[in-house]
Amino acid sequence: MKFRKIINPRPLWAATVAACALLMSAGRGVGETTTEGLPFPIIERFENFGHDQGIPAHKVHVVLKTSDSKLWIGTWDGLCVREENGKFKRYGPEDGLTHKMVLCMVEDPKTGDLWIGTMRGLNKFSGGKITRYVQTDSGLPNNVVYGVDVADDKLWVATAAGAGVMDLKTGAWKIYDHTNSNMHEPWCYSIKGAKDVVFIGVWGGGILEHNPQLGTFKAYHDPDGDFHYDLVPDDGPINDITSWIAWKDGVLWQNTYFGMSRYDGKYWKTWVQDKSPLPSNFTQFAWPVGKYCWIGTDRSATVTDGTYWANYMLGDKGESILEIHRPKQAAEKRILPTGICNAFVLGIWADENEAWFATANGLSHGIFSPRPSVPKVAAAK
Amino acid sequence: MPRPLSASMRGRLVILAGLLVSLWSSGCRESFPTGGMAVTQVPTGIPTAGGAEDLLDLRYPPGSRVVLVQPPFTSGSEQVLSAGLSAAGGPVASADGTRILFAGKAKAGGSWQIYEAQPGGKPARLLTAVAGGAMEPALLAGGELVFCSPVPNAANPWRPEKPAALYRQGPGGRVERLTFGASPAMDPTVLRDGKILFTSVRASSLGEERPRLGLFTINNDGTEFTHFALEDHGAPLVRRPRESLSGTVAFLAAGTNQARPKYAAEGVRMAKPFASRTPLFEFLVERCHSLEEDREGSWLACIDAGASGKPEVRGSSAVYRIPPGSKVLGIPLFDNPEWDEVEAVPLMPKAALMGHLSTLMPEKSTGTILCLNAFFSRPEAANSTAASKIHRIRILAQAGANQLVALGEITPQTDGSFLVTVPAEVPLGFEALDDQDQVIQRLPPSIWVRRGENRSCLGCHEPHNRSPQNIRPIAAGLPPVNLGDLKKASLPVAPEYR
Amino acid sequence: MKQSTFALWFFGCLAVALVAGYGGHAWSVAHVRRWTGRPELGFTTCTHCHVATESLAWSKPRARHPAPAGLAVSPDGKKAYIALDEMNEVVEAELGSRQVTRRLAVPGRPFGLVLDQEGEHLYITCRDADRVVAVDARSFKELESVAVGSAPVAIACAATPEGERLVVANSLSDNLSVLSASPLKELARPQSGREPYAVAIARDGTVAFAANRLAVPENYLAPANSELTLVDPRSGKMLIRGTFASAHLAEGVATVPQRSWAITPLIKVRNLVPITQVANGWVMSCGLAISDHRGNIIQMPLDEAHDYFADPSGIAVDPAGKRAYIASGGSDRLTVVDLDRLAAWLEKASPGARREAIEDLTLSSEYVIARIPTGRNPRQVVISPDSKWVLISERLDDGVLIIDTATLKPAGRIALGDGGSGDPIRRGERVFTDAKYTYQRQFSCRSCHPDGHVDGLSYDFDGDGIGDNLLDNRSLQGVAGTGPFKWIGKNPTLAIQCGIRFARVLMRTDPIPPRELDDLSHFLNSQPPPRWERKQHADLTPQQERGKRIFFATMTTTGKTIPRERQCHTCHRPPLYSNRLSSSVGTKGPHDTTDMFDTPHLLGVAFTAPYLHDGRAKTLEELWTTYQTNDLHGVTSYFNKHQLNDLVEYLKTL
Repeated sequence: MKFRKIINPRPLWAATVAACALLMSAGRGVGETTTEGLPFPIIERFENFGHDQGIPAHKVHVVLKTSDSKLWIGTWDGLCVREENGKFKRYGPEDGLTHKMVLCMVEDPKTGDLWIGTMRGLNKFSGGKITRYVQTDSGLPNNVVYGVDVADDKLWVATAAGAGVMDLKTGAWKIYDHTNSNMHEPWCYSIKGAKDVVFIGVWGGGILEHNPQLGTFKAYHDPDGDFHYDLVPDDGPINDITSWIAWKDGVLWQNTYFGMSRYDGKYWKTWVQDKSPLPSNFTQFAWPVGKYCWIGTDRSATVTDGTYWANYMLGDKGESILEIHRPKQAAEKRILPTGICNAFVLGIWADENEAWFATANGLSHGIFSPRPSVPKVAAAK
Repeated sequence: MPRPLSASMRGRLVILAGLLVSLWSSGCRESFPTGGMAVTQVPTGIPTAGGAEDLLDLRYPPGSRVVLVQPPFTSGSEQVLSAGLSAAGGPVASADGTRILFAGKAKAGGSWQIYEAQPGGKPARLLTAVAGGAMEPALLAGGELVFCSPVPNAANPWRPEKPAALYRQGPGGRVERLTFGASPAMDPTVLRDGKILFTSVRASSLGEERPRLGLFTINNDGTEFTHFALEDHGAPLVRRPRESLSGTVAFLAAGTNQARPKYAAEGVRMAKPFASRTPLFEFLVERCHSLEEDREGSWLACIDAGASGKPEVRGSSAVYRIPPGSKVLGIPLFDNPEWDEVEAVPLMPKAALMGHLSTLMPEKSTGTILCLNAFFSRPEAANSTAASKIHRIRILAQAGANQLVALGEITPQTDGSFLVTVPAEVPLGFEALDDQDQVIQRLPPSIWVRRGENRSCLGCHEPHNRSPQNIRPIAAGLPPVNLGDLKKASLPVAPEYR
Repeated sequence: MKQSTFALWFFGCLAVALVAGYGGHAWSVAHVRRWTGRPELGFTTCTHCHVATESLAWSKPRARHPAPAGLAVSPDGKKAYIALDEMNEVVEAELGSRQVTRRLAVPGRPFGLVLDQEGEHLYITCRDADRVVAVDARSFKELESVAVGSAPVAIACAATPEGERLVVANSLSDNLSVLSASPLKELARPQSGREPYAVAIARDGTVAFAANRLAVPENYLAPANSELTLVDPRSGKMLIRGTFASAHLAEGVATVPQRSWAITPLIKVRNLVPITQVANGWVMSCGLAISDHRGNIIQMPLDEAHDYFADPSGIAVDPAGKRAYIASGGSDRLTVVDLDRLAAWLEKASPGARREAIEDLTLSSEYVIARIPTGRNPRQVVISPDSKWVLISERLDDGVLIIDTATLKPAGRIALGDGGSGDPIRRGERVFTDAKYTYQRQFSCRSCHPDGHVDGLSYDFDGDGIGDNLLDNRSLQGVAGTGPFKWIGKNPTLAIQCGIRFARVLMRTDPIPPRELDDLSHFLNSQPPPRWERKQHADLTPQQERGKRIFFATMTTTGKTIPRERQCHTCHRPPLYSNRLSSSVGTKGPHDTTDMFDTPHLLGVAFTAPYLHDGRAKTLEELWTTYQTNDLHGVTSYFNKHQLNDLVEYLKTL
């Protein structure tokens, strides 16, 4: 037949199979890049920042890179922004900040305003000016602001006395606590806007899902009811002591001091250190990037998509250790030329190009190794 | 047959008639027609007198008169307003142009007093009866009279034993003193904003043999005494300030080295009075006797155009109307060759004057001074670089002639502010002392506060025409330091300067 | 009738009348004492507490005048567009004939307006309807509208790389609306300063400037700073918040493309300095704020040493950037500034001289080249694209003045109405906005009460001693029927409040003449509370309902009875939310000579920060937190944060 004479099917078929195998082994679709077959980038070295660069305190609680490419950190002693000369400029109570201890930050995507939660009040850094909100002169539920997020022209705060929401258009506040929701107690540690709902991480209360339109609350508790053990894996939140929550692209991540969980809207997945590559159950921060997530623990900075893991740790002699875990393979261990400044990771900001880590002793910048691109499959003749 | 009026009806008619008469006499009196001008005419060729005369005798020798001249301002058409008086001069017109006041002397050897001209050829009405005489009238917004008294000696009017002051005469002839400085206050005129502008000795030249004069203002109750214009530069003698609608204050200025000063016409702009002193006209005027604002921005001036060359003899002075932008003097508007026209005032409605409700508290014997920052000084002030070293402020008072006392000393707050109660209606001064008790800056007793007045200042020799910064002075939150009792003042002070 | 019978009847009736009168008096006193819980009170008339809003002047219909607000000129310079907010109308007029040619009904108080670059679309802000309307300039018909923030008063339009953008100042919600013009929709609503009132966009479309009228209260003893907000009009992202140091009432802004400047007229207020005089700008003076695109601001004086140009508002700069034209609404003048001379002064001035420039009242003569008299209350200013004409809205003369820029003299006028001098409310508004009643025309009533409202500042009048009795400025909106006036309730009527004493301690001139004072009272009484109409038709949210229950509570949540004199609604009695009596609520400060203060009415209280008689409370929350007075100012110590928030949200509905 004419078709068979024009095209020899055998070489084409073989090439297609080989390409698909290559791509499937990388777990990626056509045209995507991978690093060593991993679904996330790999840090090849760290740059570390501390007092010499103007960071006023050892403890850095939060790091955020805003849409104008400025790098902000919240420390035990003030709010800092990195200037063009590489030094950090500090803002403290003398500049109008409600308290020197900065706990959380978020950028309003529409206006570029930076909302900052501290140990004693909420602040907005906007256009170079700080505006203060404390519980005695505004509707802020409580001055201890652990978490903050902006969604749909509303500012959400997680405080020691409940969650609050301020309508950014009208300035009106609402408070949600144990008296008007199914919060176990009002101590809220984190808050995150998702699609149409808001998730609240409640200390001792698991996770609350709030629908602002309907005014409803749905609680997610650890079904085991056991404080220390994950008796039945993947049955729900790993623990009710939620230290942090994060959400991205339909996936909710929960940190606790007894492991971590993930919920895709249908299924839960839990991890503990003894039964997974998670280096420590003491997890306090999550920063999802697409389908993978950076995790801060007391022993590592970790990145995982749930299947593949990379843990950045410090050895007993201070050496920088990278552990890569691939399914059904032995963990690969590498020594990096420079390590994270401290393995107790309190905050993370990352995108496809870089990652920043707020730690108990300084700020670290993770430099990714270049990612090779997968050759495209040649079009059939 | 008509019935006779009943008693009650008769009574009503009498009352009605009385009402009509009083209405007529109060509101329907005859007034001067606008369009003309009131002029002082001095007999020509009269030699100047010696130093024994008072100031008005020198200006208006016997025979001087105030006349009314109407368009077309023909010589010989004058109507004498001061008929019957031995001498008269210094006319002023009310803001609506219907009243004319002047100083006059009923008979030779008598005292000068203020008269109001009466229309229809009637004799002028005597308004004042002040011991020592009254001169230089001005009219406030409500029609009240301001004048200067006593009439000083001609030889040195600025250093008499009893300095002339400004007074205000209210309803019923009640006279109230307005100025309480150590130096004379003369030549009052009322500005449109209601303040009284007058000439007095600049604080920096107090005590000098030939003092330098400046322009000052007060409210119509003698409060807010303020240096308005003229400082260290320019001719030191100043007379007859007059405001114009164009925002200029014109005045006569002369040097001190002349027995009979030759006054030139100068002016300052209201917008920046300390930095705009300039000749009023583009052409030279060597001997100007008076300036008054006329229509459409013109000036009505009495000028000696053809000086006789003999300064001791009066020249030929005439009235000129000088339009804005004039390059030359032009021809006189009015000139009677048998007289010297030395003052001319147009009769025309002018912008209404603002009033001012007094804040005085007559029952009090003190006032209050708030200084916002004693460390604030203008760069060119003497020893201003030392302003920051001010440690204390000493308040001085002129308790009597040649009796200077210290009321006390106060320490400014850290922001330089201080609040002090001081005796009212005595000349007050300040000395700024450093920590070695040396005097860094000094203001001789030259200001005053009136009873119950709260007076503020920016600093010590602060820049002129400056508004304050919006800062709450620390002293405002504390009770004032009480130095208000003159009897508790200490002995006379011999100032020690740095 | 026999005399004895007559006498019996007469004395009998007299006795009955006396008994009835005495009894009525006694009943009245008992009634007041019972319902206030205050045994010390005496006789009070019925109408003192029982007020019907229908009887108040502001609830009655009033004459509307074609007072011009926003202005725009077509690109060909032939047409002018004028917003007539009182008439709910926008008109088009021919500049050549000075005649109105077309009218368009625009409900909701059209106030600000702007034409796009091609002159094809007119965008109008509707102050009461909270929307922006797009009108086809050719057909003069409304095309579409979009909801924006509260009380939009100004709008600017510019082309940007991302498309045509509009920026709207929402004066009562303290934010800006950044809109795309096509489609007409809101992209972002960044928060501005307090009461944004004017906007301008730089020619390159990269930065928009919003001038804000008031300062957000911080510390009543510190200078209050208002804001110049710079946003990116392409996205609504916040760029910079510039500071007008110790200045406010910025009601206009214009850009100078050649110099990358924005110029804002403003008032430099000196409320912290005891008012012992008015001379030398002691109470306030006016100036221009010159800002670059980084928010660096220098303030320059507009006034002179002995003359002031009160209430500067509208400003326009010619396309060549040579001159700025500024309307002074209180002084009925248009000031012309030579920008080259201004720039030359700035260039040679030292940093210290620049910093102190605003305080030097002689400086304006360096760059002001003309002061042109206008009709009453000039507010908005626009310049024709060919720079030949400047148009000024003479708001209280119902006309638009046209100035020839070559001669700087009036060239004509678009007459919109007769000026309304037959209307006492209009006459009163003229008194209210006219600075001629103050010394050297330094300020008008409006200078401290913009739109009859507050300036958010506290003042120290020296009539009762320097430093004593700092007083927060109170709103005049909704003031009818709320006498007596003054924080100590000393003045029974507005005429007395604004009369002799006011002339003595503040104006420092003669009192306002009786007829004008009467008109002024008419005007003030006609001012409704803010957003009154809207509030009548708005339902309360559940939170506001809870707050209302707290406000009217007679018991705490634990069942404890609240003494009547401490119940909120006893003193703040509806419908005015004041019983018009003086009370002691524990708020006496260290410099107050009394602790008895007149109960302020609460209508519009959301917009009258700061609070208490001296303005020490920045927000309503602070009344019962920072300044909690042991339950003397209402029993509130039992509140949790929910209840406090609920109460505050209810108060904001009044």
